[in-house]
Amino acid sequence: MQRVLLVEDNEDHAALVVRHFERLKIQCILQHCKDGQEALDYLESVPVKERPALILLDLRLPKVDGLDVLRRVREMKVFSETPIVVLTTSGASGDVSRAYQLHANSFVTKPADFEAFRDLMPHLGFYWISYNRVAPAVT
Amino acid sequence: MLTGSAVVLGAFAGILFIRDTVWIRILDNVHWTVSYATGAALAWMGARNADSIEGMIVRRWFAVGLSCYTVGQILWDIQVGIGWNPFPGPSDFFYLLLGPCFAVGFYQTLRQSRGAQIRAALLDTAALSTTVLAITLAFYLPRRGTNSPFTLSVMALYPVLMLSAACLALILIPTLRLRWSPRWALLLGASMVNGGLWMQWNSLTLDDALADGTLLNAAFSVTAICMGAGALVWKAVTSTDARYDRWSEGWLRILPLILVVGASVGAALVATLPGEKDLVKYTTGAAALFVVILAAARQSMLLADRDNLIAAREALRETETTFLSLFEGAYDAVFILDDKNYIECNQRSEELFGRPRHEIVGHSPVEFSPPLQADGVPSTDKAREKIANALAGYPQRFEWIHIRSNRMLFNAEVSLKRIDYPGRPRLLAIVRDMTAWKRAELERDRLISELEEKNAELERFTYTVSHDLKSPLVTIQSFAGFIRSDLEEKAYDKIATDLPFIQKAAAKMDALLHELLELSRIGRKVNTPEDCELDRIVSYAADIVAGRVAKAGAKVILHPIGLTLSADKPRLVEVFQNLIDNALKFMGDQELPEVHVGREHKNGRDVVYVRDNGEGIDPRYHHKLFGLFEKLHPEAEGTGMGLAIVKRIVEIHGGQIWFESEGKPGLGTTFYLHFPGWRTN
Repeated sequence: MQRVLLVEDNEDHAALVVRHFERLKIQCILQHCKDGQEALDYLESVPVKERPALILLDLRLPKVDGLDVLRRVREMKVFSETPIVVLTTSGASGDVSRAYQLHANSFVTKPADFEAFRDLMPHLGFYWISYNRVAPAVT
Repeated sequence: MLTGSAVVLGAFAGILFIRDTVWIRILDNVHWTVSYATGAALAWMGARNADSIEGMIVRRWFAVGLSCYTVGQILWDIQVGIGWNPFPGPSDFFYLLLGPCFAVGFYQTLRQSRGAQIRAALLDTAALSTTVLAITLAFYLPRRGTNSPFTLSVMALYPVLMLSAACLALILIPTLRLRWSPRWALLLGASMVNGGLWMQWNSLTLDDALADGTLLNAAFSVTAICMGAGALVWKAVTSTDARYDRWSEGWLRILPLILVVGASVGAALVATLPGEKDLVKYTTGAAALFVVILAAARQSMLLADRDNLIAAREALRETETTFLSLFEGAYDAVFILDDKNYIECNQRSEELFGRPRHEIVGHSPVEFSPPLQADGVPSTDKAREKIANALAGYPQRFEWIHIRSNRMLFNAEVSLKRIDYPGRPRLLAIVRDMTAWKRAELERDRLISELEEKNAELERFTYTVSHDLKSPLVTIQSFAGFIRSDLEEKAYDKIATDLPFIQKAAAKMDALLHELLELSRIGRKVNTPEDCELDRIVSYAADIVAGRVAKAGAKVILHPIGLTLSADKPRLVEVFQNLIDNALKFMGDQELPEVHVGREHKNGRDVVYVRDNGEGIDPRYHHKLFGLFEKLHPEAEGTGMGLAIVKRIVEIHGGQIWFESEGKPGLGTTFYLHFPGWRTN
């Protein structure tokens, strides 16, 4: 099963994403990191087989900011082409445009855009996402 | 001209040696014709070579006059040749045009003067012409014989027209302040002599005493050539000498008087002379009366002129007062300079330089300047350059450092501009004290940068607040949506798990808003400062957090501080409460958590510290610690505003807060506080 990395400090919002994935019947293994540093550490040490196929990244994070995470992930050779979808609350246009400059693939404004997120999936090349009734596994 | 003169001289010589009357008459006519033509040719040359349009117009009138004169002579030759000799004949008509043409020429010269002077000159000329007319008539009337009044009038016109033109030229001398020069004197002299010659000629005609080959005949030719030469070089050469100006004005004023006296005496003499005919007496009497009237008109004009002068002086005084008050009342220092020194200055200059006027006037600007200017150029060189440029007609504007009498330097802005007094250029210097302006400029720059900083801070604040306040809303909105679909799907068990998310988020929102309000109150709503003994403040704060201390199994150890600070007491308590609380939160795996509060000497000053032995703060995140809503541990309780509030309270009191931590568990973190206003108990 494919893996998705969720980088989100707010516990409630993490739960939110899980619930959305459930409702959208997205089948995957969801890896959750609570701050930027944790995410970077995780990506640096993750075994090849467990590499995430998609990263959902909140922009405002403790320790290392979301945009910094984005920049540094793109500098990692193995993740330079991994799709990254930015999660943003305010939808501040400055944030989104800066994220695009750092090669984010798309963005989702919480909470309204999750329907749009599902439609986005095929465009990101995630034909692997099967829409069945099995809930995603959270590690 | 030489050929003409040679022919004329030849003719003269012929007349001297030839005794035949017919030949002499022929030779007379030859030298007349040739000399007049020569004169006309010279005058036309003069018109062509004139150096100005005005000069050309004037000389052209002279040339036209002399040309008419020549035509008259040629007609005379023809009349003599065919023996048809009427009076007045065609030749007389052309002869007579010489005087009026010259008069027009002189009038054109006069026009370079101003209106009142022109009118006065014309009146004077009219009076002089009347006098000439009277003399001529007095001379001719007794000998009129059988001549009709018309014939006599034409005869009189010859000298009168020519002499009137000459009188106008004469009046030009004082009116235009003509400086002695043959360029105008030659034509004037020749015209007068020509008029006199005609007077004599016509007088001889009346006496029937005309002769051929006389000196009188020859003189006509000489004056004609002289008139031509005079027209060739004609120019009104004027003088600006003040003494000559006064002398001329004097003559102009006394002239009407002389005329009146002369006319009266003449009329009286003629009236009392025995044997004079009544006609002569009446003529001279009438002429004298006319001269008196003209003189009176002239005098009243002089009076009007004087009134104008007085009015002008009044106006001048008014303007002078206006400009003097502008000059003295100006807020800038205003100077008049020659090429080196101040020659005049206003009151503000005295204030600016801190010296009385007599210490400024007659001195150079360099004496009130430091040796070097701001750009390192010597004041002497720079001043010389600026003055030279301004005198050359390029207005200068530059910054300058001046020096006051008390040796204080001040910045000034100087503008230099040339003033064109006739004959002696001066400089107008305006010196503005820029000290206040410079100070204001610095102040403005400081305020701008402060404002920019504030704005950036505000922007960051708005961004953070909008993001963090939105977070709980996102949760609430989403889970409310889930609950709705739960209801639709009748999945009531899920509602039980979804609902607490909403409650938690609402509570979080409430806490956030509360703390945000707190933060905004700091500095806005201030309790009256009171003396706070820090030992008591710290122990009070420790009491408040005692519950948590006990729960964490920690120890708070208070060391004596011995400092007192005048501050907002509840806020100060809040600072220590927050710091101790914060220390307890991040104890990590520490088995014997301890928090120490005390005083020490660090980098030469007193500081109060709050030290723990917890997990410490990773140096990578040090810069984020005091930020709004910054939480290094997402799972930790609180809103992430505690340290932001602490920092703000400390800064409101003028103090500083910072911390040191190696980020190694067990070594913990130390927060330091310093207030410049505190004192030892």
